[in-house]
Amino acid sequence: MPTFLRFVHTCVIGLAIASVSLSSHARVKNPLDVPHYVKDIAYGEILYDYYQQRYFSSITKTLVAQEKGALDSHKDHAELLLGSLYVSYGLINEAESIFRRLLERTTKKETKDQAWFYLAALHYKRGNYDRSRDILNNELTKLSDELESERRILNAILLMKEKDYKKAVKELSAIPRQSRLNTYAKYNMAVAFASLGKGSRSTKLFDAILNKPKDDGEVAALKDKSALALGIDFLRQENYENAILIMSGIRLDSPFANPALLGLGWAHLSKGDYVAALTPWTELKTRDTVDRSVQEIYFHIPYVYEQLGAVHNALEGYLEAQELYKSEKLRIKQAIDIVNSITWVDTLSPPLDYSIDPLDALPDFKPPKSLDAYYLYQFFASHKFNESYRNYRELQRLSILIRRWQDNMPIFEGMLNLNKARLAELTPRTNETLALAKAKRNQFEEQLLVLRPIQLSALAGDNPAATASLGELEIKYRLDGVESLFEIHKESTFFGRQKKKLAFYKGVWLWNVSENAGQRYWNIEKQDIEINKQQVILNNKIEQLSLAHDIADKRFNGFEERFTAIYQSLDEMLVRIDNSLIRHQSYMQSIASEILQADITYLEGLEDQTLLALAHAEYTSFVADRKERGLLTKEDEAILNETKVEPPKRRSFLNIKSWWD
Amino acid sequence: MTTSKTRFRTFIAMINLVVLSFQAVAAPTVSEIAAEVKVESTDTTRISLEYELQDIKKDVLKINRDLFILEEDLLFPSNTQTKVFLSTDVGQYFKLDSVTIKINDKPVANHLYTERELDALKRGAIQGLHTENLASGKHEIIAIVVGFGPEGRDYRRAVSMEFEKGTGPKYLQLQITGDRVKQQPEFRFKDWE
Repeated sequence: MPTFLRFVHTCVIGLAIASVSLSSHARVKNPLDVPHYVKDIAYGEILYDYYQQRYFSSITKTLVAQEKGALDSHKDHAELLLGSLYVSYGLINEAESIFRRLLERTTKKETKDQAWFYLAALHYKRGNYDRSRDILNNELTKLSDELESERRILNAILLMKEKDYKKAVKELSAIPRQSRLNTYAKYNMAVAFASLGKGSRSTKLFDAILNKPKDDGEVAALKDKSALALGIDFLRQENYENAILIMSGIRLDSPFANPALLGLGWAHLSKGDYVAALTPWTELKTRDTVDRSVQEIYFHIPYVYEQLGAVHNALEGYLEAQELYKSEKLRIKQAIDIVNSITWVDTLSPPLDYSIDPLDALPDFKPPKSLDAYYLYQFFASHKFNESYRNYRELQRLSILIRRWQDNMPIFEGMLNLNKARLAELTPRTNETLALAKAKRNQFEEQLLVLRPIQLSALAGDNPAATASLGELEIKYRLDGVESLFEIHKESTFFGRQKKKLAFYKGVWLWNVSENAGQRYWNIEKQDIEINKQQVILNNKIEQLSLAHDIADKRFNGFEERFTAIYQSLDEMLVRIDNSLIRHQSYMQSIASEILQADITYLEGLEDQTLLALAHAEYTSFVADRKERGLLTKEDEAILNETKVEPPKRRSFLNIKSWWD
Repeated sequence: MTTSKTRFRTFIAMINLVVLSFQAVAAPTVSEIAAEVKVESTDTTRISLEYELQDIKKDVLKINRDLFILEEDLLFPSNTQTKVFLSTDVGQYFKLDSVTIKINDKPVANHLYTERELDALKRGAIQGLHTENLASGKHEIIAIVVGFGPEGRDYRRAVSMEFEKGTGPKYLQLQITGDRVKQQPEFRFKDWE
């Protein structure tokens, strides 16, 4: 993840979690950047992933928690976190809309400004200059000194893009001298002055950069760039001595060395010092012919020979130049064929062998070792290409991710089918168990209906016999049997003694039963409570089983529809990604082709100029030869005057290109 | 002489031809060529592709969210879902090394902590340690926590809790806190109703 995005994370999460003092910022209502305990488990889980830099998982969990309404206490904290994660994921507009709603509820202005500033920088990086400018002008209050300098530079660049150089100069001149960005600001200011036609002010600033000590690679590169811009400016002003002085200081291994060598030769040539011009140009001629400066001097060196009277060498030189331009054109045409082939972008982006987490860093671009890369090295180094390439890689990664999810769908379906099969297997057993339990309960309740009145009368104390045990009831049953026999023979006087005995035994039985009636009543009460409890448990069990049965029945309702919807979304998404990949491909191809086509046009121009120069040299040589041999008649001279061949007008592309771009 | 004259005229004719051909094609000067070198950026296309990518990314997130919920609904339906979480607010009294979770005396989760995880916990995050399906009714959870106590001493402690699983999802949180008075860590389960 790029450094500044990491910083956005730090500062935005700082809004949510950081331990900051509220004492001086107590006016913000429900501030989001004060210490707080994690109250929602879902929020804690989101943070667990976030702190471990599992950002994609963190985004997913936040969206899931939002969908399930699991963020009662941390709705805004989570959303602010989501905003910062969206920045990393590249959803700049979504992040911006969250920031617009929630950043006002932060207490630390600098934190808020940092978040806005980096969002503006990101908009700029993605080519959305209007949004970037809008944020810079409307959202920032007070930045730290260093960030303020960065803001001014960004704003100045945006102003220069609009060609508002005056305002750009105003912004840049406010950057303090001690700022590490001061050299960069000076450079941009020099460019702005040059664009305003204020050459002397521009020169002064370039000169100031050149006088800085070379403390690091960045300053050294800026110095080389400034020296070239300044040297060319001197060339334009026909101040050749200064041009030579300045451009001689450019490092030979600098990216600006080739145009500097070209310019140096031009300065000598313009002074009339042809031999001196040959020194830098001969060095340049040893360099790679893909470079335009090198290509150009193939056309100029023969001219120097011409001026030095070495006409033969000049003619050879022009022929050599023609050969070079022809062969270069041929190679560029081959490169165009490569670029226009359908596999070109794929060869630039070999299969992904890194994490498919959409928020993990992408590897740097490695140019291929093919002909196209040879001519497109500047394009490959450009911001435009790198942004498109990054987008292309991201799309490739998303495509792999979607295909992986597609592959997982049958697994989910399998799980669903397995669960359904298990449910189908369990349903009859559940139904059977439920029916049995209900039958038992009914039987139990019927028995209770019979027993309940007896129990109640026993508890009421008016029927102690109701408390008798089974053994006692059996005795009572036998005594009642004897009594009913006596009842049948009640006229008989024969059973008088037995009847007395029966009355005695009945009395004893009643005595025995009544003697521990208290304990018996207590036992009955206990049993009653237990019965009631068991009844409740049984009913609950039946209810739970019925509920589980109902839930299970409905559990898989709607899953088919959800599967269908997700399958459809995945299919549609793949089509969208594939289409977007094609559009990105053709965008990169069209730019690369344009660049290569422009190279051909450039070479064709040089080729034509060389042909003209060759004709002129031939003409001059022919006339001189005939004059020397006294073969030129008056008639010939008249013809020559009519058809006089003018030499080509020599202007270097150094004079045209803005070298500070 | 005649031959020489013919050669001369032929040469002049050739030169004329070259010059005329240049006039005919209006050969560009080097400056004109250079002007063509700069290929104007097609910013509009670039921005439109950028927005297209943003839309795709946004919808990928939605699909991922739906898939996540679908998977959870399939694996852990809400009526049986039981989740165990862990959090720490223990200061210097304890450094977590590993945790074993048993539910109804059956080991269900074992976790060894990395520095990054410990850092996340220290900053207030909550770890989702284990998810499973439990029937409604009474259950027991035991956590065996291993780590380093005050002054780096080995520390091993078990903590348990009985809980009732109802018909909704059940969330249990093992909280490791520091007791300033005793200068010891404390372990307890919190039952989220």
